Amino acid sequence: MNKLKLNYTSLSFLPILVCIPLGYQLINNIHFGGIKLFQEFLISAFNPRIENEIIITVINRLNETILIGFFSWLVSIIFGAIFGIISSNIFYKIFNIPNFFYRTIRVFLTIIRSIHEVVWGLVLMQIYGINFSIGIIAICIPYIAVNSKVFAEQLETIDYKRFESINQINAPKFSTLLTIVWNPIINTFKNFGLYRLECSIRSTVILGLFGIGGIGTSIFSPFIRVHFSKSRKKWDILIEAYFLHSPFIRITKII
Amino acid sequence: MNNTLLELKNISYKYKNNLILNKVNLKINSGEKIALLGKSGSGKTTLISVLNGTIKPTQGEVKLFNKSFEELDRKQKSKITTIWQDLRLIEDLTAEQNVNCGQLAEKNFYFAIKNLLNISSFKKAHKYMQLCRLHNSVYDKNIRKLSGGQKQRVAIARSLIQGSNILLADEPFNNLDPKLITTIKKLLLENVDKTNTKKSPKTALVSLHRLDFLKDFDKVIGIRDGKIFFNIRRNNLKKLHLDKIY
Repeated sequence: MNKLKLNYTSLSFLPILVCIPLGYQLINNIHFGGIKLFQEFLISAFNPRIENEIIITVINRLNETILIGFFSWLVSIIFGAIFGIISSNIFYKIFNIPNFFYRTIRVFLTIIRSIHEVVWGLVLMQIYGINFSIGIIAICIPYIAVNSKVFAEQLETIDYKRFESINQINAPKFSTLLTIVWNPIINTFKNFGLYRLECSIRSTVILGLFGIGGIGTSIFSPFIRVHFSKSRKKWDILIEAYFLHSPFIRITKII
Repeated sequence: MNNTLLELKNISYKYKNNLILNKVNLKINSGEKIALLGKSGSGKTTLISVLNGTIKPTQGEVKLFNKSFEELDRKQKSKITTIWQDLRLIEDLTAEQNVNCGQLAEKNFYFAIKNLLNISSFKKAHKYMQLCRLHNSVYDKNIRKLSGGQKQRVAIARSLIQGSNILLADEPFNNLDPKLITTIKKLLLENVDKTNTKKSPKTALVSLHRLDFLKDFDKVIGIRDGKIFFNIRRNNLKKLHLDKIY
């Protein structure tokens, strides 16, 4: 029988030990108080009553959600790419800008990224009130920072020799930059872009819970009052909309 | 003929406490064809990188047209073209797009965009690719799909399209068959554009391993452990010289 050796590999499994007290807590605190509520929710969700009025409302709310999600995605992916370029070391090498600016912009984007879109939404709502554009801006701010990190990380992987070779041709700096970053940017967009659209739509739904509009706003009031019976028709369609929405995003990814 | 184009004055280059170039002095005159000999790891590639301004020496001064690199403008710097040993092509682009990259110095930003979108004119690129005996079936192929010899010729075509008169080449005949080597050697060492009589004669510094290629060069430089051991006319090269560096 192999002896258990205490080395770095075995130490890396130590965090699993956290599961023991966590599992104990979960088993100890289990109660079925909410099971009736959950049953009610499931019955409402899978027992659709389709009425024209409800369908029209849900379609309108869905349109709002997709519109906010799509605009936020479009703006955040474009500006994310731009900020990604200016927060990657290749940009500073080409333009001979001191490293201080590189670090400053990265720290700035990290701070922006660390604040959740819901927090941005709540802050902006206090200033501008509740409206459609607040949703877009609230999602865009952290998303630009998140996207810029992904783009920048891809650009950091560019072979330095490739940069040297194009730089040695002594082309105008913007031509050099574009030639070097073009393909990593396009590839990142292809691999990551649609996932971010998915995230963006999901965030729009969450922000809707805070009254910004879209499907989230529709489900907010019955949800908070736990009146599933009153919102039954909406839940039915929302669940269906969710199931429709997810494959849609995934199919477009495959295409 | 005694018109100095490139000059290295007391150049040393250190990398991670290793002295790669050790007090190198070198003058390259207009029209000279120089062969650079030395074992692998002797400092040939570093010397080329210092000459084209890619590497800043730890000590000493590099002069092009009697000016230091910092004093030169972009157009003047683009008078040097380099063929790297590892080619340094852009892998996501096609062969013709890679060759077109050689024109970036003389063209504007709009050309760079058109080249990346694959909508620019490839007429000039095709001309140089033809000169390098590249078959037209490889023009629009991704560089990843080409053989070693084809990639080598794409890199050479990219360098030729730059139209520079100072060529620095690091083992440019790798991966080429003997028949191609004769063609490529001629292309590299002579002016391709015969119609342009105003052009100064081509100056070349080419690092080599094969001694049978030396007959095409005027001078031979031998380098070992980052030091230049000899810098002589080819006719004066003796076995004794080669024994010093190999």
